[in-house]
Amino acid sequence: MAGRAADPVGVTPSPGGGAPAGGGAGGSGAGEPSERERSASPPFSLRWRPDSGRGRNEKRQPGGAGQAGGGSAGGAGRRGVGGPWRRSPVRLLVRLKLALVRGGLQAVGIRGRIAFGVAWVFAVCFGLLAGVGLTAVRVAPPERVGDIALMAFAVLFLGWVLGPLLGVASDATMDPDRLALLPLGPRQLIPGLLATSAVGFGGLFTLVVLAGAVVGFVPLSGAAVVTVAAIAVLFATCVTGSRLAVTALSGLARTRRGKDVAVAVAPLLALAFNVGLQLLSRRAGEGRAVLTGWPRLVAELLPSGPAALSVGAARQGHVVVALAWLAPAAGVLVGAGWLWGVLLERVLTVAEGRGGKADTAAGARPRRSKDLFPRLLPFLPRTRMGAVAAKDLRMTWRDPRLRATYAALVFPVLAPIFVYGGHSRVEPALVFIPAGVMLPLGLQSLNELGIDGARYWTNVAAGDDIKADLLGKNLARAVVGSGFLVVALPLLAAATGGWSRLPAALGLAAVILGITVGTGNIASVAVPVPIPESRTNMWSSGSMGQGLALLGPTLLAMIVDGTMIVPFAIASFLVHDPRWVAALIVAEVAAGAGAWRAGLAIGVRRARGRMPELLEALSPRVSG
Amino acid sequence: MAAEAISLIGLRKSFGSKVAVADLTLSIPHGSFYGLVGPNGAGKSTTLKMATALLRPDRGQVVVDGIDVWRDPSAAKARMGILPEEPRLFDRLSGRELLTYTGLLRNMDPGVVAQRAGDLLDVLGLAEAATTMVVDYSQGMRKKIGLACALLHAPRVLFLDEPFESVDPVSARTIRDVLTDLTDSGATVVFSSHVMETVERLCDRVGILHQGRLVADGLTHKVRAGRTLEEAFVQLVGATDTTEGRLGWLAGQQTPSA
Repeated sequence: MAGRAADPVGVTPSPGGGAPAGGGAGGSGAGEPSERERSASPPFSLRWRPDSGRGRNEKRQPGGAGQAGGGSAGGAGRRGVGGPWRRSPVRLLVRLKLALVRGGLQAVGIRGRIAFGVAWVFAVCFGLLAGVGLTAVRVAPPERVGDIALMAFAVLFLGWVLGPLLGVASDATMDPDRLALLPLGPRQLIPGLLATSAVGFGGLFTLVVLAGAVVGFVPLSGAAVVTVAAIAVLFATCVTGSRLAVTALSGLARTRRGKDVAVAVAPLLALAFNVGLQLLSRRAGEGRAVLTGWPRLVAELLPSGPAALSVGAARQGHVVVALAWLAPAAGVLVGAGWLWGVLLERVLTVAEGRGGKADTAAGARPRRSKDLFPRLLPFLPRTRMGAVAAKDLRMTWRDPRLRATYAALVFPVLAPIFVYGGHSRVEPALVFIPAGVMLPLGLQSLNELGIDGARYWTNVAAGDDIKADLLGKNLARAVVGSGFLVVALPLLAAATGGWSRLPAALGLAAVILGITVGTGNIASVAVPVPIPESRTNMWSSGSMGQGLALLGPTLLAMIVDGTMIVPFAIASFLVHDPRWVAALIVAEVAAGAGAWRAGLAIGVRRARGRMPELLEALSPRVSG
Repeated sequence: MAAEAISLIGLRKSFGSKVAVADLTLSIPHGSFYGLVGPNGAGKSTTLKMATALLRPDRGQVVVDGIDVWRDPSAAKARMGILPEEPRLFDRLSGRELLTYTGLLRNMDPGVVAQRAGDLLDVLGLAEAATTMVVDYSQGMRKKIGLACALLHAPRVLFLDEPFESVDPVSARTIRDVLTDLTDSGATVVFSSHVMETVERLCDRVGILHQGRLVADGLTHKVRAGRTLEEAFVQLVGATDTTEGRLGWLAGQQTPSA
């Protein structure tokens, strides 16, 4: 209105624009199509006109230009870019890693930096503890040293391989795609990447532990050299194995489907690890030797096995045997390094173009889905709340990260079924495990909006109704939790003979879910942390910053929730009289419902009128 | 009906010390096809976000179809459709599911949503991909499904941020046709773009933003003033030769540092 009134000719020069609004010499009468045709020469060509190049175009002779220019550019490329990289790729890659850590710390703010510092302190303390523990091996009988080394080395190796896949330790240098543009081949990259892996939490932790191992394992004889060499080979094997695992899965994840499969690998490995640990602890509990039979075979067959056997033989004074084991240990290392090099070359040279966002109609068979609302859940209302619930439930299955997260919740239930399946009526209290699983499930609602991240604009653009959004998300979580309990409780009761404890477990599950989802509603709007799909590490739930930013709220919520839940948990375990159990269940349902309603009300009140700020927090990079 | 479809009055937004939009005042009549152009970082996206209640301005007022956007954002949003630049979509939903989701978020009747979703998918050439997950869509298909979501509730004012960016010519043509039909029906379309030819061809009005300020605004042919829009744009934003021969080494010349 104002613009038109003040501008009768229809052109409003800027009131404060720095640039001249002029150039108006062309006069009116424009608008005819011929105008467009007359101005055929693009204005930007002026910037490159031949006579403005201080004679540079004189060299552009047919034939010679290409050669001279190409040769010179190539030379400049080698000198200017490739040169320093080739001279010292190790130093440069380590500096790159440090710069990435610095950059990450700058991005996460003070809260993230504190969490980072705390994590370092934990790494050092835990490493010291394990290292000091290993020094105690000095007093162990020499024939037991081999077993101890087998176990310790296996745990270290598996930690190195599984860590990055589970998102525990990752950085941009772990992603081979980021390295594709560097003027370096695998041969130049490999030493540098190994060095960058060794710099960080894992490297420090392992070095501290291995220092303890050297003190504990090294015999006071000439075989000491072999032991130190074996420990050094083990360290290199850990680092190489870690890189090999990530590169192999990156190669698999060239397409969206491959990525989905690769993401599923990590929880499966974690399940195997979990089941293995439970089986070992059962052996230990039954007073049987832990490292006999299959566990020993697995530990020996792991790439860390030969180094451990070498250490054990050296301690017993069998130098020749120790040397004989050192050879396969080194062989495994060289083999892993070679395989890594081959895979790295492949990953660096196979374009992601076939995958990525659009492994569209061309290649992959697209997944088909017609209806937002799952047929199995006809009770979901066709409203905003119902749509949010239906969408979240769809995403639970379709988003590989969420699928992996939810799959991880199944492990605590599956593991006892595997372990105790053939020995029913051993531990009725285990039927409370599914109720315990409600805790991590409920804690996921601490960041309900973070999973949507920048995509939450869809909801904000459609109108501000945070209450319907939170209700929908809570409903989805309740559906998942209920479905889980309906399947897991009877399964576990059947496996462990805990049928009589089933109602109490159900009551405990209700109060845990109600309390955690209630506090989750408050945290979700108070501290929203976007969890974007990470290109750096598809197995992580976000970058270092995001993970750390969630650490504080999660710990706080665990303390608050725990304080409220613990009395109910203790009562559930102790009360066996059916009348008291019934009363307890009523109290638990009431407390759960009350905590959830209170959390929802507080969350909604806090978010009301703050939707743009919420959206900004969920999509931090707002550009002009 | 308000006299203007959109009024931005003294709109300002800073990010730290950087002023993204500086006291922007702009009015757009009903039924306009308005192109907002400007160099990267000129403040186009920020302006559109503030106009659509997605980003709170430091100060200023936005009125859309007679409703103060920042006093009653929900009522204003019911009248407008939005397609952000590179829209982040729930891409693990199929195209049809995404439309159903969007419609129900707006509390539309499920039957109406289903019928309109079918129409939009047909018109935008997405019928065959209706049951395919959006993650498997090409860039052009993503823009089109985003546009479908923005149109589902028949908005009177449509804001589009770079709708033709990374879109193939066929999809661009479809989008153009849909937008032209929309303005012919009396709705108002505002879009930002780098592609001067598109703005020149489609828009009856144009605004040029530079460093957060509106350096020109009005009927397209008046702003062009006898030049192409690109020429007018370059002159208004004062583009200069930044290379000044410094990239001579690209042509094989020796430079002192080489």
